[in-house]
Amino acid sequence: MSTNHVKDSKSTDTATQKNPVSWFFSWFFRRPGMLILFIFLALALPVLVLIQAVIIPAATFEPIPQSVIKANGNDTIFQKMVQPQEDQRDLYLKILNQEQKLSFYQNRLLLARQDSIYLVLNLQDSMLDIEIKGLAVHRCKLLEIDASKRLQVAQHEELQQWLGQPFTLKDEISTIPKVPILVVDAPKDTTEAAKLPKKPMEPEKTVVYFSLIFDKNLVVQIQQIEPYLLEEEVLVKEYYEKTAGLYKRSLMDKILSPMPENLPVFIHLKMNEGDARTIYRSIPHANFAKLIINPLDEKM
Amino acid sequence: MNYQVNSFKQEKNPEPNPFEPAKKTGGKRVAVARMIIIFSALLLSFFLTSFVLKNQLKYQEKALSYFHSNDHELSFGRIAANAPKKTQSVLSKEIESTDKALKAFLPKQTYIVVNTTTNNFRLYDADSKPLREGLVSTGSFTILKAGNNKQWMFKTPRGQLKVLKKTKDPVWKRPDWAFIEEGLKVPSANHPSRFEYGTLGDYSMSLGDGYLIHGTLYKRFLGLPVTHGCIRMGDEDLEEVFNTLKIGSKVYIY
Repeated sequence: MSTNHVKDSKSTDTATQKNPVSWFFSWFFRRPGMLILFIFLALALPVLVLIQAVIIPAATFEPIPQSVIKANGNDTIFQKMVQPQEDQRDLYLKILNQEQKLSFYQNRLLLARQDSIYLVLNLQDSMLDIEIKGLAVHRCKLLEIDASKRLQVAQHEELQQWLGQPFTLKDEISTIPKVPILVVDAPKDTTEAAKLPKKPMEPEKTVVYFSLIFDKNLVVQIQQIEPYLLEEEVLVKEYYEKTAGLYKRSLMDKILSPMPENLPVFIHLKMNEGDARTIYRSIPHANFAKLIINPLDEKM
Repeated sequence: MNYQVNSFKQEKNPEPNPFEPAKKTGGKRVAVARMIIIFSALLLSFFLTSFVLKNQLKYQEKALSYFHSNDHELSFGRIAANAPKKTQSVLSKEIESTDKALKAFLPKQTYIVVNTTTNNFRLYDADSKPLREGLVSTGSFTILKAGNNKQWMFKTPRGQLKVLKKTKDPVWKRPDWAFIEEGLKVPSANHPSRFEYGTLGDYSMSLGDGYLIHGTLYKRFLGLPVTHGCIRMGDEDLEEVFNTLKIGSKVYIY
């Protein structure tokens, strides 16, 4: 019995030695020193990068870039901190919300005085409106909102200064053309005119994804909530490549300057395809298109 | 006996130092194994690092809420220093007056809103209650190039316009492009061939610069962008819009 056991053991060892993979793993897991070395080598750099490129910059970052606030002409933020009593807190919060409301109304009034179509993003009602002269001519229900945490953690004073003036569109990236232009050369005679197609072009129904790049580092990304068709995948991929290209930074940049001041504040919105198309087609071209935001109420 | 115990101890604790050079027996194999372990650890490290950097923005966003919180202490300090009750009443008054100024822009009578993307309209009463909605045809966004640097773009103007004139049984005075796009010679300004009866339907409302809201013979194209800039409507819709809107009524086009 004992002789057989020794024989079995020997044959197993030989089999393990013959199979290099099994030998490798049995060798590796029998050596804690090797395991520790492996874990250390594998995790040291990512943990270091996580601390250097994510945790430290997030801890020291100003949610609303100070340069934007200073550019708006007001960099005097009250420095004295106060912790009010319970009964005062409600009043103070009401005042903060009133200030927010007033700023929002003043912005709407400013744009209503101009003869232009503008967007009003109301995060309180989850609506994105197209307004002309103070009248909401089209209201889009926002089915999903993913706004940057920076808007939530920013100090009221800084946020008010950032939202204090309407945002101006600088650039846009989209899966659909802004205007579906068709160029036709005038026919030379009636025979040539008769050959021209008489049936109007059907409006295109392609997937609607677009990014509106505003000043003050704001980027609003809007997309249809409906899933896109398989043949539209290329279009969506191209769109994502273009948007990624806008903020592409080298690995070294990401480590050395992990949260640059011009880091965009993203707001992602999802809505019905028809609404998204209408929004993109209605707003004027860059520099003429304006946006105002009504942020969420201030809460404790 | 002692010898046996020592030998047992040596076998029981075969853990070698990973940095110790490989022993002669199977030494090559052990060296290769060490290399594989170091290489795969570095490879994994590289992948994890690039994963962290690729998702840097996402992680930073998550980390922000751990490190920052809006406790309003600075804002409360400012409010406390400026007579809060008075500030509240001043703000209330300002909100009220701004709201009033904003409402002054809203239409005081019936108005119409036209969506040129979906090619439909909505007619509202003075209290913004919808009265009717339906299909329209708006500008086709076609550019007609006629040579000699002459070209027309057939688009419907956007923004806030007004009904400037209302006409029953309108006559269409065909502009130059209407001849050019049919390959015809452009006649003189008041040539009889310029005047077409019935083309614009029973009613028209002028929005200025030659743009009209009118009827159409091409009802099958309602809901499509096919016009030269005017807004075409079906007969029944046109009649109600014509009877509801007054001269000066606002027309919002987007």
